[in-house]
Amino acid sequence: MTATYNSTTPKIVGAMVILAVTASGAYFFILRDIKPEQSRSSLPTATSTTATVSQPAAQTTSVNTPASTAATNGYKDGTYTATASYYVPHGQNNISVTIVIKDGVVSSVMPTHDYQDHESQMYVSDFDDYISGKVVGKNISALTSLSRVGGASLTTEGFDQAIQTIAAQAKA
Amino acid sequence: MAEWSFKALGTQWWLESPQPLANQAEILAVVRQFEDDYSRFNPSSLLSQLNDKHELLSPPPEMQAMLQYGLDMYSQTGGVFNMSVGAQLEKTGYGRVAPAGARVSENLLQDVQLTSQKITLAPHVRLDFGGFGKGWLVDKIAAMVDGPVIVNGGGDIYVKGPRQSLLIEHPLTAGQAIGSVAVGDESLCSSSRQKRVWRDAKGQEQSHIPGRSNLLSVHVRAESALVADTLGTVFLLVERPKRLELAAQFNAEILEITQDLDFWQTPGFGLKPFRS
Repeated sequence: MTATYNSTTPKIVGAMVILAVTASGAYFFILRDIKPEQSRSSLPTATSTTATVSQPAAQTTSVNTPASTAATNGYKDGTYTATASYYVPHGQNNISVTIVIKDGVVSSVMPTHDYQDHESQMYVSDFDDYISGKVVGKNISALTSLSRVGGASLTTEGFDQAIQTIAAQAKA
Repeated sequence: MAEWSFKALGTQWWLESPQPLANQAEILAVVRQFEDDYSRFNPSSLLSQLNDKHELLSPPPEMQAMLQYGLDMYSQTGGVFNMSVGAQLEKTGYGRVAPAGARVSENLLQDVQLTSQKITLAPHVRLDFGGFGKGWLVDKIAAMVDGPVIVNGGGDIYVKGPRQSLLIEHPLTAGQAIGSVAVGDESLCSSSRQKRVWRDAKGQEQSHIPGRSNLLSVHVRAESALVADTLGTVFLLVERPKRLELAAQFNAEILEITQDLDFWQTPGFGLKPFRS
């Protein structure tokens, strides 16, 4: 799959990795960005954020919208794309984030590339000794110190800006 | 436990220690100096001066050491880890605008000349520390703290002192973790394709890690954040046999998550995965 975008009107990528998450994950993500800060922001600094909201359409997403979209947590079903623009000394950068909310929970985040790569098929049989399995996600407790959460975290400021914009838009 | 948080290098940092750190101001000053000196986004940084003028006189010892490390990693990874890949990033619209003619070096050891008096670059080469700068700074901060500390730079962690239980974030779902791992006097760093995505002038989506792989994210345990950060970058660019070879060479352990959300770890990584 190749993701193509119009630069001014982000469209929804047809196929996305779909995952069920609870809305508390989204809350968590939003909340952690407003932790107290003791210093000035570093570059890049988000200076503007725009969001487009498209109610799911059959030709653009595989997620069907239930007739009743308001969920108890207050997020409306739909597909949301936000682009955060931020300025760096020699220009402007954009980060765009697409989120699908279904039944009040975030069901997917961001488009992904399609990698035509044979390595997993080629080498799987060679590594029987290694430990593998299916990823099971569990909510990180609000009590967990964020210093103890490692990962390829999505804490890029532009991404955070876009997420916050989406959260505001998705609130019922 | 005391936690302290600040923003640096475009991401959030957290430090956790048994008692509040007495030298917070000193640490923050070092962080800001590091940003001022080595940011690719700051046109007056030492790095930008080097890239713009192709030479830098009297470079600070730290910058020499970082460049030497980058050259060593270039050699040890057979050219996969290449500090000049920034030119390619800039061409795709990330960061500053690359001058015409800038391109990835095909012989970094020749194109970067390093002495204590002067750094010289070939005219077409631009360098950046994106592949290991954060790991370098994580280690540097940890070294400034007396006693146990957890230094977390946007998800890349060094634990100084006895083993601590860390969570590994779900590669796609914010606010979720996939399991825990106990780490002491060691680092846990991660690389993901999802981390930085932007659109270029033509509206095409770009990711900050070039190349193709079915890996969604890779997580590395190593003796230092510098090594773990570097290997995390490299591992997204090479296939599994090479990953295993490099992991053995650097005494590192690997956890991989594929786009199908399968995980796979070397026995020493020690992830305790959550079960449904």
